[in-house]
Amino acid sequence: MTTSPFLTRRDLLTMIGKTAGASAMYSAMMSMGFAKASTFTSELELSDAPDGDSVLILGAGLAGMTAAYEMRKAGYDVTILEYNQRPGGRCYTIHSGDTVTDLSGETQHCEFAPGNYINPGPWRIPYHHYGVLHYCKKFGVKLEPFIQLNYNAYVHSSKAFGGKPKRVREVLTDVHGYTSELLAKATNQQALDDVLTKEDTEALLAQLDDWGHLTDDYKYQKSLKASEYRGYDDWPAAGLMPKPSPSEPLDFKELLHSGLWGMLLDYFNTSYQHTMFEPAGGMEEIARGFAGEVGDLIEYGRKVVRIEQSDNEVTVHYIDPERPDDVMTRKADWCVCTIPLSVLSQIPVEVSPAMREAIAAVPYASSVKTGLEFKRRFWEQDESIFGGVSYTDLPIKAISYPMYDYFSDGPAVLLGAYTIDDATSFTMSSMTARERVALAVSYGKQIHPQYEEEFISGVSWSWHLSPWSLGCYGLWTEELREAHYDTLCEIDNRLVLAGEHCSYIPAWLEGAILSGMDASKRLHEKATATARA
Amino acid sequence: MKHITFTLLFLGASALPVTAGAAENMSSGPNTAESYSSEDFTVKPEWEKLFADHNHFSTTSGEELYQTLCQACHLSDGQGAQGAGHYPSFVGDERLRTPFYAIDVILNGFRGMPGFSDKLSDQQIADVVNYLRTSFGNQLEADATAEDVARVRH
Ligand SMILES: Cc1cc2nc3c(=O)[nH]c(=O)nc-3n(C[C@H](O)[C@H](O)[C@H](O)COP(=O)(O)OP(=O)(O)OC[C@H]3O[C@@H](n4cnc5c(N)ncnc54)[C@H](O)[C@@H]3O)c2cc1C
Repeated sequence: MTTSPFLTRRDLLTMIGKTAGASAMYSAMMSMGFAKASTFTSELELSDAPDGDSVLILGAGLAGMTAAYEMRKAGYDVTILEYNQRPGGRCYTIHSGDTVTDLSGETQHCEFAPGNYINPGPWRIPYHHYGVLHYCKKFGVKLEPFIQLNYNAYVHSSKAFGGKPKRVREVLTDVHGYTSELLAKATNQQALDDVLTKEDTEALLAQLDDWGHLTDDYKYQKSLKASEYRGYDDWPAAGLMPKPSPSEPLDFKELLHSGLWGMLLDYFNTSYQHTMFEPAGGMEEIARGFAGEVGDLIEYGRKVVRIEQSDNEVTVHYIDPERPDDVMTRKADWCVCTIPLSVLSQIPVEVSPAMREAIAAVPYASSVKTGLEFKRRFWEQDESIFGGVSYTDLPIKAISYPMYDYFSDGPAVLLGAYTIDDATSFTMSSMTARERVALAVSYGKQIHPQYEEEFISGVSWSWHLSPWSLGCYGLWTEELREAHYDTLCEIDNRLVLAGEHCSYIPAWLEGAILSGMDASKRLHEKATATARA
Repeated sequence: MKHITFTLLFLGASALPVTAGAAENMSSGPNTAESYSSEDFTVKPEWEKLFADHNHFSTTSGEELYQTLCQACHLSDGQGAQGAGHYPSFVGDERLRTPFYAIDVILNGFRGMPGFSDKLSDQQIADVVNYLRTSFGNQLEADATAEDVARVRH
């Protein structure tokens, strides 16, 4: 029997270890709520609000605007108090011509060409976030496909393959090939005889052969068969052009230790499976769609500083941030508060001690996104990358290419860095936006050498410096949920909280929308019951 | 209730470099190609060190840790920030009188602030607490130790 030059028992164990790591990681993500499908079936049909009952909604993000839409439909007198001068909260886009200032006081002018933009926060919508999709359709928000998995995008390790990025199709095919070969080998060595019958063995080998594009003796190696999946050296052509020639698989050991395999995971999690969507023109179009319905209810430049309630009413104290000494009050029968917990935990709120504890229990994640504009779409023109996301072990973590206006001439914007909640993200957040833009170019050019030559301008947003959210999203753990989640979501007298933090789909618009619906429904039940009593 | 006046412990805001106050005119943008040199587009050796491990902070001095972690919210001058909510200032911060308050907050988090027990070693936390106690006008002893941190860690 011939043995593959690469196979040792240690490799096999390493591989199993990596696979176990991957599934452990996946279950960790499940417990964070990342991979959950939405329970949305239809919007609410609330009706018969008690005569004259009013609702104050705090925050005009998607949770607040969903609640406003549903409660007004039910017949309540609704007002939204919002700190910013625009609707949407974290559902936000920085457009060409915008000026943004973060908590450090650093101001950036977005110099992108007209029509260009970057989504510094939310940017993609899974097909199973039924609530977001429903309201987008209803409110006329045009959605286009978001490409998460582009087989021609890159995965990149600065420590493997000479620091050269590899195409997703190459790595994916090689992973299938080598794992199939190893499994075929174990099968042929009777290592699996205690779990497989003879028929099973035959079926398994046949499918490994197909799945792994193996040779007749179950080896994965350079072949036209494998090149149909991983790509060719010379691609099939015509006439007397070069004949199709196979490409060389990546070295198994180097691949095994490169980290590239693990990077593929983000393409296959249910949160990111095709089809995904994005609104044409930027994520903020969703906020604008909602504001088209409830914008007339929103009062901007209102910073809530205290929330009180009695058995009969809720009193909200707020200021105009420009004139902080002038505290104003507003009274209502009911209140839906969607202020992120990072902010709410600093505001005196008259609720049970247990709910106060819950409000103060949830830490907020760090995240940085950096958008870069280039003179031309070199990723399309030179590298045939049309949309999609490349992943890297560099501090920038990801590069995502625009999924609209393909083939157009002129400047285009890509996402040049996207960090979430690790040490890298905090360190990047502690730099100025100006430095973060330089950093994204400096590292990104290891993947796309055209960067420096083609760069025009950049914009970078750190979520811990976001004045209205003080962070990216609520970082629940299973222990925290156990201790505080139900309390946080309960109606406390006349007040109920809503927002992505009151959901099992944190860090997603769907969580905010479902929470806005759920809070409205329960508050309406209480209001009608109270009126009857 | 005994009220501790803190004026002895810091130099007074007027003696500090004024950067946070100058927030509105700290304008950096537009971040355009013309405003950078090609040196700006070169990976700096200190970045290589800072980003060597995505899951842990790799610097050892308290000052460097402040500048690569705490500063992300509390800002370079330690003055904190104010928006819809705020980040507390460390300038003349009475809570720093005991190292244990800061140690606890850094390990376990506080309200929206995440804890860093899995990203920082005991020594790193002691170092950064000592930096807070001796910076931004604070003139306290740099006497927090890794053992102090170990006692609070659970
Ligand atoms: C980096 C990043 C990436 C993301 N990616 C995705 C994605 O790809 N897909 C997806 O679906 N979701 C994504 N999300 C999550 C999504 O953005 C949020 O879940 C959602 O926008 C939260 O909505 P919300 O209404 O709960 O909160 P917010 O949108 O934060 O609304 C809260 C509102 O309250 C206001 N407010 C705050 N304080 C006060 C005060 N004191 N007084 C009055 N008003 C106040 C704020 O200004 C804000 O408008 C991402 C988020 C981030 C940060």
